[in-house]
Amino acid sequence: MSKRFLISLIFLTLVGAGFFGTSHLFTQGGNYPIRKIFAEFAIQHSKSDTAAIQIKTHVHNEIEIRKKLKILDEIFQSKNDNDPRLDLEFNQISQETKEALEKKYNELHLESRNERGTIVFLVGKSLSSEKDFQFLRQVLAEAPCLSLSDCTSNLSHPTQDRNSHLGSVNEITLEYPQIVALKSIETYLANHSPDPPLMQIVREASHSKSPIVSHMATSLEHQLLKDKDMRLFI
Amino acid sequence: MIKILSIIAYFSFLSSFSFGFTFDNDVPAKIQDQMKKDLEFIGTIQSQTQSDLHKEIFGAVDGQTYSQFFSSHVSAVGLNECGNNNAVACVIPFYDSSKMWITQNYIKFSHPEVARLMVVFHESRHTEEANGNWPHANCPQPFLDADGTPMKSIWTGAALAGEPACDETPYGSYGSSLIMLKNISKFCTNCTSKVKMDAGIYADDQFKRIISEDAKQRIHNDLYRS
Repeated sequence: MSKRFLISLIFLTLVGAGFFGTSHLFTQGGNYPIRKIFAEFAIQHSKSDTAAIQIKTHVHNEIEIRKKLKILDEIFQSKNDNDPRLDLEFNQISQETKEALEKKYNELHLESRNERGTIVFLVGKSLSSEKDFQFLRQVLAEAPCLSLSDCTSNLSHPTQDRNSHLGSVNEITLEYPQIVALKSIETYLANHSPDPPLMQIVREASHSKSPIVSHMATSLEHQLLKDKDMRLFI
Repeated sequence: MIKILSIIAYFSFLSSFSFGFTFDNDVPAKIQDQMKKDLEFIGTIQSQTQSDLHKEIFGAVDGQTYSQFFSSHVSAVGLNECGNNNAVACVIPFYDSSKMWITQNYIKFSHPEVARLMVVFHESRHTEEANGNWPHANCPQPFLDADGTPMKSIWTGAALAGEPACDETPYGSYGSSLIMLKNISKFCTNCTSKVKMDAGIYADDQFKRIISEDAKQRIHNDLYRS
């Protein structure tokens, strides 16, 4: 048996262990010795160092994503919006993590307004790509949530359910993910030049069926145009 | 042995933590737990400064101040539907001026934590018998937003014009809760950026319910002047 054959055999065994036999390890915290051995071995013995580094990076990203999703689940479970990990663990998150968060957003019930808004907030903190902007566009284009009990059905009785006293609290929560999306755009544009795709998203939101979203988007658009005009005159 | 002592000390600490009010027996444990957690959070807030109106109404932007404010206003918390399927909390002076009623929506609806706290602090202001429970003013007719659009509820479509859902003073329930939240948004030093953002969002919304020009100007000068 040649040395190359032996190396290939060990490599394939480790690949199998890494992706099938030890998949449960990726869901838990702590060290990952088999993964580490696999990654080191791949770098040392692969014909293509670039491919090995890519594998290592992928595995590392996968662990990071699962770790962050686990943290987020813990925060959702606790209903503690002041969990410092929201600031410490979600700064400059990778594109892969943002995509995992977006997937989670779509899996959540429509009525999970705070949880959905939290994900928009976390993605919105690290806006950097066209994909991020498209996610915000998708959020802003959602049909208005009609009731905190059931977003798709307005079951309110015209008189019995009228709650003018503190109704606006519910109204803000109904549109919370969309409001957070607009806040994220506003924060982003405070430090960046308004680029056409983002301005287009704001413009589309100004035609939202939700009066609150429409109003906020219109105000933001006017503010941005005003600032732009100011820059032109300076 | 040390482990056992630590556990005993931990539970002794928990049981000694008092909110200064009692829950009725029929308030579900989950609602009690959530309300305690929310009030524990507000009890941790820290800051270096505060606005003048906040100082006048509450004192410093400080957890202990908020805890004392709540404890001095609310003696008991009961379970009620508050006459509305969408209500979260209410005060019914006819029954008991210092009692706050919570609905199942407190935990059923997915509100940000700041929104739940805003509701209970709004209601706690309504317990002040000496100030006539800070009754609300009727919103003007027409009641328009800054763009001239009629202010209305988006899920019932009902216009707020003529409804008792506005304040003419910065010191009422809308004013005091928006002043509290805007101060947290601006000055809290140990809040997450989400809490600060949420506090700003809900405060700005409550500001729309202030209808007298004098009150609006005072709040603007206190908190919105750049």
